[in-house]
Amino acid sequence: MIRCSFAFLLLSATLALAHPHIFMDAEANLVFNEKGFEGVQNHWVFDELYSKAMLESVDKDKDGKLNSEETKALQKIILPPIFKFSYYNYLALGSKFVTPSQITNFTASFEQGKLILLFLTRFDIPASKNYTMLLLAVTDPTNYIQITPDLNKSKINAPSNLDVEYFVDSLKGMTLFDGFSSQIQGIYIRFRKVP
Amino acid sequence: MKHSVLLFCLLFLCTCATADVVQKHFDFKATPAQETPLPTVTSVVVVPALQVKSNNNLFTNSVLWAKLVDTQKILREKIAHQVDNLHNGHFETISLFLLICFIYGLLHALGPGHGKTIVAGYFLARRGRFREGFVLGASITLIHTFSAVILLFVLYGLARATVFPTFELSRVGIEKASYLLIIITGILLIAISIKSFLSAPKKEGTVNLNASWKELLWVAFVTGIVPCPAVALIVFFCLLNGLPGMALAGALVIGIGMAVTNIAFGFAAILLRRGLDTGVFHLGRFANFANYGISLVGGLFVGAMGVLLYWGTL
Repeated sequence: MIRCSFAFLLLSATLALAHPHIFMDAEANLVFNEKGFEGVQNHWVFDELYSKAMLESVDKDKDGKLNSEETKALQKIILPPIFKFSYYNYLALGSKFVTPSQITNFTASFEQGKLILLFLTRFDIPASKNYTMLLLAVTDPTNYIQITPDLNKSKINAPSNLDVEYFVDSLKGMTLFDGFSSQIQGIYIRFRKVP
Repeated sequence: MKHSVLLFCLLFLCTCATADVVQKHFDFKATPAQETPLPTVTSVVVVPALQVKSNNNLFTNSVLWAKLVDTQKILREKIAHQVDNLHNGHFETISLFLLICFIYGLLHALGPGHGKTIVAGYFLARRGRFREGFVLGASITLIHTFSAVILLFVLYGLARATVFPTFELSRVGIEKASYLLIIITGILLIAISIKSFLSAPKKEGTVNLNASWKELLWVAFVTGIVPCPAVALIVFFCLLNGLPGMALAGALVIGIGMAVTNIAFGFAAILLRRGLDTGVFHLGRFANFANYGISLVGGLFVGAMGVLLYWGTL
């Protein structure tokens, strides 16, 4: 009986946190410049319900499209609150996550009932003679937004003065990512200046 | 000829631009081209570090959870599709729309913040009857659903344009208040258990730790008052498509679906408590201690869940 009660309590306890309300498909491309790793070019597609709600929030002229002013308003609503979540771009460098420096190239569009956001999350990590190793995960560890990343579609843009290698794999065994869902994958990257 | 040369140059430049990007697992062995072994140390780069807040646990790491979430995603797409159909005058799809809403509610309530844990904790702390389990499970989810509907309708009336961001802000405030009240409820249940233990005669069979309607209503209110964002989004989507009736019907059916899940947890907790009572009856003079102990654990459980939920909002 005691075993039964513990099992029941544990079952209830494990259901106590995490709760997706918004669904999003994501792609992440890695952008390098001559100096090193510039950032992550994000491509987000939200579910129809959330998309419609957000469009309605900013579409002042009610034309069902987003002009530059409305796009700015949308950026203000969506991105600043998720700065503390690294814009869902968790980039590990050594034993720490890197805080993004800024967001650039933000654009938004509304296609087939879905809100699409494109933006660059800048990290600006310089390259050196030695390899710098990074690990990127695109996820919301609080599970409020269920992000489905397709990292196998990720593209790398790098100049010829850099030597860049990468692969996509599970995050299992990565201590820094212990708080993340074990179901997700990450992009393992290493880069250096061409000797 | 000119074009061929130009094309060749372009292709050469493209190849150069990406020549050093390789998709492969890292090879840490030295290659013949390298005079020294490939360095595996990371460069020293000074960058600001980020703290990670995570809500993942044993359940959210499971394949079952992944399937549950994927199914909800599909159901949400189907709901959006059905609302579009209704918007276009295909009212023969109402029953399908409502059926999808019911299944969505049923599955959605398996996620956190729908009161299952509190229901379970309460019926461990208090002996309940099935009708009380039914009322608590159903009332929590109906309050949870209709607090979202009411808040959304009010905001829609006041400021249609910015309704969802405002809803989110309001919800976060209500959520914190609700979780604080759950902590207080847990403390009250613990205090009542201790008080009953201290004041009751220490004979066998004198323990009175039954559920009361007053407590049930309080628990239902403090747990259910957090408006459900999932319901709010569906209601809002219906409103934006000019379907206020469908917004209400959909919310009601989602609420019923969520209630079924919560009631099942209530019944399971009532059965568990009855089983524990039967078990401790054989403990003779220690039976009363055991009964108070179980009630104390139930109260602690409710309080601990309140703390965990509140922590999650910080």
